[in-house]
Amino acid sequence: MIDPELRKQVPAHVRDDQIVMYDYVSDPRIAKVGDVQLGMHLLHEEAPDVFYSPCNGGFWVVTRLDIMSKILPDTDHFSNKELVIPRIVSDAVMIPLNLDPPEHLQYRMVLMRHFDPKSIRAMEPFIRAWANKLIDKVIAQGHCEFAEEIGAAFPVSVFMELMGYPLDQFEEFRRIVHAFFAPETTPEERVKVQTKILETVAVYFDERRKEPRDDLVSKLLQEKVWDRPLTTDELNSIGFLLFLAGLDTVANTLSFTFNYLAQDQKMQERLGAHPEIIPSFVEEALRRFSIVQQPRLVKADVEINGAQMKAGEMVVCSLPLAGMDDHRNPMPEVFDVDRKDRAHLAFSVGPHTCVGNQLARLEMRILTEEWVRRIPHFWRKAGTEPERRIGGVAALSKLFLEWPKPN
Amino acid sequence: MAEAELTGFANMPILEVTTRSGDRCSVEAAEGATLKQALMDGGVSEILALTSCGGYCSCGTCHVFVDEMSFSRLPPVKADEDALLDFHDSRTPFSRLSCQVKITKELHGMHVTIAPVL
Repeated sequence: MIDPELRKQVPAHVRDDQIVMYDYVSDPRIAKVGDVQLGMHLLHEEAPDVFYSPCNGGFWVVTRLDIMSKILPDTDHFSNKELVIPRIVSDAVMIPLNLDPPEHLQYRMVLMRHFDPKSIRAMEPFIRAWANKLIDKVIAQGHCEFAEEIGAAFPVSVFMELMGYPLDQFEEFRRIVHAFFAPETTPEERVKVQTKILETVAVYFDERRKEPRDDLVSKLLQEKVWDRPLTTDELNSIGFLLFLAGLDTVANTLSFTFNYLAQDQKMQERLGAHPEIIPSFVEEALRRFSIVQQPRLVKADVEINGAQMKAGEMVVCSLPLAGMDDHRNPMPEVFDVDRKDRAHLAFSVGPHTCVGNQLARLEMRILTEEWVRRIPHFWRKAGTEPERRIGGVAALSKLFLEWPKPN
Repeated sequence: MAEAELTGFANMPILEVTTRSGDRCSVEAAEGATLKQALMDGGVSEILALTSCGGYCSCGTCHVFVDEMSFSRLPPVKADEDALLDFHDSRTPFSRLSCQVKITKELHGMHVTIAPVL
C-alpha cells in the first residue's frame, strides 16, 4: 500500500506501482552499499524500468539503457531547456547544451571545430606533460589525496591551459565549481555562483578581444553561426558551459576509477605489463563508473513503457544505470576489461552527446599510462574511506592513496 | 520500377561494401533502415566510431563514399550534414554521412566505401 500522504504528492496519471522513492541528491541506497553505481543498481531490482520518484519535486526515472537510448535523442518529446532537479526556473542558458534542434547544431559545430579528433590528438603532448607535472609533485612523498591533487588538478589544468585561463586562478576556479555542484548549495546560491562564473568568463573574452592569443578563448571569438560572429551573450554562455563541463566530470570519473584501481593489485600489474589494454580499461571505467544523471524536460505528452509522461514534467536518464544495466552488460558489478560487446552511455547519446568525449577519453588514457608507469604499485591508505555524493554529477572525494617511496 | 518489382518483398537491397582495410563484402540492407544501421547489421562494425552520436547527424564519424550513379539517386545533402562533412579532409563529391542515408529498393547494388577515420 502506498502511504496516502505520499500518494497525494504524486500526479494522478502516475500509477501506484510506478511510484518508488529515489532521492536525486542523497539516495540512502548509496550509503547502504558504499558504492554509487552499485547503490543505484539496486533500482534495477526494486523499481520498474520507468518509475516516478516523489522526491526533489517529483520526476520520472529511466533505469534501462535501451529506453534511455530512445529518450535522449528524442528532441520531439524531450527538451534540454531545463536540466536541473528539482526543476528551477533560471534564465541562464548554456549553449549548446540547453538548446534544442534546429538551432542547436550551429552552436555545437562551433565547439566541434575545436574538439574534433584531429584537434584532440594534437593536444596529446601537453596533456602528457601535465600528467607528469602533477605526478612529479606527489611521487616522492609516497602518498596523496588523489581526488584533488590529481583527479581534479589534471583536467582542470589541461582545460585552463586549453582555454588560456591564467593558472594562478586554479584554486578560485575549483572553489566556484565545488560551490556549483555541492548538493547543499541552495537554488538561490546556485544562481549567484552562475553569475560569478558568467562574470569570470566574460573577463577573459574581453581581454582576448583586445589582445588575441593562441588559445580557445581567442578562437571562439573568431567563430561564426549562420555566417555572423557570436554575440557577447552567446560567448559567455558557451564559456559557462565549458567551465562546468570541463572541470568536474573528468575529475570525478578519474577519482572513481583510481579508487577502484587502488584496490585491484592484479589489474595494476596487468596495466603495467600491457599498457596496450589501457583504452579498454578506460571504456570499462566509463561503463562501471558513469557519473552523470541526465534530466530532460518533457515537452509533449508521451508514453514510455507504460508511463504517461506529461508536458512540463521532468524525466531523468541516470547514466550510471545504463552502464549497470544487467540486460545489456551481464554481471555489471564486475570490472571486466575484456568484456565483449560492452555498452554505456557515459557521454549520453544523440545530438547532445558530450562534445568533449574524445578529450575526456584521451585524458583518462594518458593519466592511467603515466601513473602505472611511474607508480606501478599503490593502494588506499588503511582506515580511510572516500566520501561519495550523487546529483547531476556524482563525486568521490577524500581518496587517500599510498605507494612505496622511491629511493 | 521494373527492377524494384523484380527484387520484390522477399529480397532486400544488396550493397557492395569496401572496408577501410580494402576488404570487400556484400551486405543485405533492410528498406527504411539507415545506411549506417544496415552496415552495422551487416557486420561492418568499423562504421560505428567509439565517439558516435548514435546516428543523429551530430558527430560526423560515419562518413562513407558512395558510387557516382547511386549518389545521384540519393536525396540531396542537407545543410547540417554538409557542415559535418566539411570536417573531413577526405571529403569527395560523393561523400555522405551514412546515418543520413535511408535504404530504398533503388539503392540495390550501391557501392559504399568506408571513409578513413577522421
